[in-house]
Amino acid sequence: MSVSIIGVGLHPFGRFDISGREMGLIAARAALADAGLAWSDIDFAAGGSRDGGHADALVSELGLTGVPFISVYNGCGTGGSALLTASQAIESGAADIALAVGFDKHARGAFATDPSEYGLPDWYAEAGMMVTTQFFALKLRRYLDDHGLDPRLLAEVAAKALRNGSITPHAWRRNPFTADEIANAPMVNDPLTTYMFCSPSEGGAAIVLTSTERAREMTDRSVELRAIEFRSRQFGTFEVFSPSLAPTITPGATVDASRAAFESAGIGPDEIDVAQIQDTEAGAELMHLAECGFCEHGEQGKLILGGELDIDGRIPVNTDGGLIANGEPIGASGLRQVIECVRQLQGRAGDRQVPGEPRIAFTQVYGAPGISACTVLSR
Amino acid sequence: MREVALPTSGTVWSWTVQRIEPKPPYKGPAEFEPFAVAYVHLDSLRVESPLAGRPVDEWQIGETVHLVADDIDDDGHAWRFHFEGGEG
Repeated sequence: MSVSIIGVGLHPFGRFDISGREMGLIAARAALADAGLAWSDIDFAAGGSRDGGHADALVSELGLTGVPFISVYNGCGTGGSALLTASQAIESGAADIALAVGFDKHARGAFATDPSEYGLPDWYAEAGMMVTTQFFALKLRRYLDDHGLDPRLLAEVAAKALRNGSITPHAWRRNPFTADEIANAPMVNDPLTTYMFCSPSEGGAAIVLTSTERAREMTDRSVELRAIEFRSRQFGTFEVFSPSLAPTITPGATVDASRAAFESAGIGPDEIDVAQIQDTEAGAELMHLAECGFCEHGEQGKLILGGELDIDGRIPVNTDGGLIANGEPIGASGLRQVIECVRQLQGRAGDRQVPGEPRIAFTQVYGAPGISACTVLSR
Repeated sequence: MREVALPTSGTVWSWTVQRIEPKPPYKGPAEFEPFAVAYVHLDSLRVESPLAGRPVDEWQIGETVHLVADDIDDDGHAWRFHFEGGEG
């Protein structure tokens, strides 16, 4: 049974005076309203949050209907896991209408991590090596060197994100910066400056799903979830929090998840009209573009400098500013990507609308400890 | 699982500079100082390690570095280590 999206809702991303749970509630209610449904119509829910509380506890406010509500906890993949769980409930016939919801509210600054939660010894963190931003820089410097890429591309990617964020009402960072300003900002982990990173933030996102058959009866603007694939890493990949690496690097979870999603949808990267790609920092977008098959490794310069990733380009990427402009509330971030694609496909993206009535979209999340979730969506 | 003796010198495979003080449980000097960190290629493994002994941003991919063990315990294990430039 194929699955379609019939409602989406967001609480804006940024810093707010309300709790993470309240942002999740606002997003859930907005998604229900968008679908023209009530909470009592939902017969399956899945949701997650890293620091904002228990997703299943949202039933206290949404209503005690007895609905099965699965909480998921998958780091940056939390939104993807919630969507996968809800979509499988529809696909299997176990549920008619399902809700996926994610929300978060993180402390300022880089994530603090407990080594024991990742099965790592204390000395690794005590020595100052269990730092996500440091990993991104280590992976990126080697990648730039291997493929002869100019570090200047990082500033151009971040400038695009902030330019798109400046015209996106739900984005956190609304001030555009030039590539020069970004390149000359204080260095965090060389070659990445402070404006090239996303920051932990706050926000909520929710999606209502049903079967494609039912969706077509209910609305004329549903978006079909053509594929959703989740993968964890295989031996030899280069991941965050690795005290050591294998002497040869094998492709990461993003390669596996994106290939599986394209294969399952029967659609190739060259057919995608708009995409949201995990840009935890500017280099991640650069690497993920090639890992997802949008270009060859080392060919990113042409896409970036040629404006092909811009809103009016050949393959617009991170049209709402991505993680760099929205920050990363872990539970909500992956769902935000899907929601942005849904709005683009529905022609509801306002000032940042991709021209030419885009029909097919793609999303990709990547996170610790080496997981990726990818979707293909079509109108 | 088996123990493998790694060489004590290798080459810098990638490197960066930690310019912001890591959050706890990081244990560093009372006043934080930026430090370089690398994956060092040691034949059968690439090991993550701090680099020391020169200005933090003057390292190169491919250059030779050698192991320096710090804080050696009674059983002969070093729980802190770093690499410095050259063969050692």
